[in-house]
Amino acid sequence: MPSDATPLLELRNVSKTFRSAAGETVHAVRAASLVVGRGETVALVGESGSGKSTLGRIALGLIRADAGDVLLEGRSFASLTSREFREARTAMQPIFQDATASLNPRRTVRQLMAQALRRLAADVVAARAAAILDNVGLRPGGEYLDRLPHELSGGQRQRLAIARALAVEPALIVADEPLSGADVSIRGQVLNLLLDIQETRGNAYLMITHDISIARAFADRVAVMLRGEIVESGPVDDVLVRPAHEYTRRLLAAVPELDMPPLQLHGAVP
Amino acid sequence: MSATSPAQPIVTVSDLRFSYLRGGAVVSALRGVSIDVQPSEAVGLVGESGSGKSTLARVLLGLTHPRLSRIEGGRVVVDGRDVTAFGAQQWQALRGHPLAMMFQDPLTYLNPVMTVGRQIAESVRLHDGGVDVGARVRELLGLVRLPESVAKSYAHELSGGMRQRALLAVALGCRPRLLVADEPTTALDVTTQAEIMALLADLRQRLGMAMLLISHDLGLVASACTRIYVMYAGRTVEWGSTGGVFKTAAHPYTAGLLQSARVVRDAAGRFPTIGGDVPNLAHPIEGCPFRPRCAFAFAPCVEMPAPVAVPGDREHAVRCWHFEERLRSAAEAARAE
Repeated sequence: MPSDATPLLELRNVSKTFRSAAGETVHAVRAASLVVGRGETVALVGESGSGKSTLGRIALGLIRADAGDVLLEGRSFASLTSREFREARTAMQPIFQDATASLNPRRTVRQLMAQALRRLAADVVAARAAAILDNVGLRPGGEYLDRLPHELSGGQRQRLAIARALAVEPALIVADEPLSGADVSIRGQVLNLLLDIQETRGNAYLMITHDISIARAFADRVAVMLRGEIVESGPVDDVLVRPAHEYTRRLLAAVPELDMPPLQLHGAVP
Repeated sequence: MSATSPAQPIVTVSDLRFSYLRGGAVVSALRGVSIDVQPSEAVGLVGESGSGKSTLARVLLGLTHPRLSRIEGGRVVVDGRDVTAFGAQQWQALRGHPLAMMFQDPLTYLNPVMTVGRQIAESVRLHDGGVDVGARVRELLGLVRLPESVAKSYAHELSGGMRQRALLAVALGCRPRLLVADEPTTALDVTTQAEIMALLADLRQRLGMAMLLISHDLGLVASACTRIYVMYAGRTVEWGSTGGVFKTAAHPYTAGLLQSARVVRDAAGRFPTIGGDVPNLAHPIEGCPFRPRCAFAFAPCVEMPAPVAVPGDREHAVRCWHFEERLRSAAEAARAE
């Protein structure tokens, strides 16, 4: 049995190499280590090509690392039979950047939710789906069941994608750029929804983002990736307030600031 | 730059109304937009998706389809000429010079089978008869800080930031007086974005070029522009100096946008939001378009208010009944004392 000290997810010296079409070797991830505790929110920050999405996919078990180890509740992926692996993997659910692309356009909301709830008996699926839709702010959930994805607004589609991820009660949600492309006024709604979900369900988040201000406001800890390596990691209030790595400083300096002081800060002010 | 600008604006848009025609439906994308851009100034146009900001850019550059859209009213004046009724050929004479453009996705606008050097040379030949084209191409590549070797490259061989620089070199080849930049850095990483914005600021100063920066990113606009316009549902709802608008966000929508843009949680640990959704522009909107989402909406909001001057900044104005009411009560309170 895993003890309380066992992290929910642990990546140990994970590496992944791809071969490009031109035959070149691309080191997407180089000996990266990352820990996500139960109920914790970790942000993985980096620019395009930094390897952050690849690392997220390795964590989800969608791709296999060439080297290193992935442990879920203390159990190494490598030690599991494929059946056990499939079982274990449902503890982690992804939310991708493009909600529209992750939803089959010809399936109704009811069918899309039923797919995620396939372990339930058929007669309770609709009620459960409606309840989850209610949870993500698509209220009343029952009225959304017969709609197609294109009949929803962008913000509603993102909520539907989140509802699907919640269907299996995951311990960890890996959210890969869930807010890029979303309007500023929608961004707050989605972040608040993720906070609400965590408050009631106690799940952890691995939030993959290029946006350092979202990492700062949303996460407990942050890891900064550059060219496949995690160059700096730690509590948000350390890493993003007193960055030790040159690259973290450059990232912070590049964010265009609004020329007024923030209204309020959450948490303790140093 | 003197505050009293004697020169005429490069662009003046007055009460512009514009619709897309989709089958039988009419989508009124612009419902009363007024902006102007003076020579060599940097102006920001801020709004969320569906606000009409990109539509305005397309109308300003004559890039709208004559059979699938129409101007319903208002005027567009470029360099003193009324271009509202211009046809495709007349627009051709304005594109490049005095108006140039820069879009989010440079790959769409760069020719994939022509080297970058030839594309820059083409724009030089069109607008600069008689100059040494090769020398001018090298000069333009230098201006956008690309190595001369890029002249022999094709667009797909360049990184996103380099493509945007290449497209900028093509635009500068026409010696534009106004660069209309629609989300020019949205697809780029923040560090690349910072480089491109620094380059634009430097070029504007050296060439005296004006810029209309269209973006959803308030921070970006704040750092690059001296004046801004805020658009909502096809209307300009607030405008003024960047400092003035950020200090006294007079429109509840601007205030909401500013709060949301800061990504800072409130005392209860919540992120600021603006409730509701943007209105569907295929339907008529009576009165203030923000009314259904506005915490301050009251009876007068069923009619769109005229612009009200915001004290403290000569150029600052807002279209909001609630703000007018606030001003009136403040004045009454002052009189009572």
